[in-house]
Amino acid sequence: LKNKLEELRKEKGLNQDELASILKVSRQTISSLENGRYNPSLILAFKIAALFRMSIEEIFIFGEDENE
Amino acid sequence: MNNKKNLVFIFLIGIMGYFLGAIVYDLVSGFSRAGSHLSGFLTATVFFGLYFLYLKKKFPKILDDMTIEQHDEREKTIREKAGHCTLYFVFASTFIISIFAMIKNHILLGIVSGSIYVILLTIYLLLTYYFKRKI
Repeated sequence: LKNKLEELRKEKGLNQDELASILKVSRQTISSLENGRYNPSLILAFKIAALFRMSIEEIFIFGEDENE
Repeated sequence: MNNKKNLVFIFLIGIMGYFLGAIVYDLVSGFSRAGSHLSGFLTATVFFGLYFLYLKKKFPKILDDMTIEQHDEREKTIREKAGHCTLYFVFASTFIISIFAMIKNHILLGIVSGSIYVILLTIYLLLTYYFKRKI
């Protein structure tokens, strides 16, 4: 699952700590999400989408090879 | 004070409280293994309580960060994975020890490790059944 989280966060002028604080997760979670090491739960994905006023699909891109 | 320093401090307070409680108990009422442990744990708990009250008053943000970290979904996933691996390790270890005890005729060890294996397996299967019905 690829995502545009880092790009959107920077556009909004937030650092990882600030975004983590808004989403009530740890800074490490934000870092892992941005690096693609961790996929968010549906609830967290909705929270992120709501924060950036976008749909989940616009932020998180599901690659076809994820099925394999 | 940052989170890492705080965790180290909590660990040190626990150790200090435990030893202080145990030593004071031994000095006051003579040596008793159970009493020393109990006194140590109680003193450590009191120290933790006092330290948390201090944090709440002086550094409330650290307590908030600790709460967030505890409920953080990535942390939960990590704990689940670590717990799962630990469970399989304990299963394998107790099974191997039981077999080894049976071969070497260590009856008591065989009974203890075999019982632990069966109890763990039963709890695991019961919880799996429970969560399958619940989720």
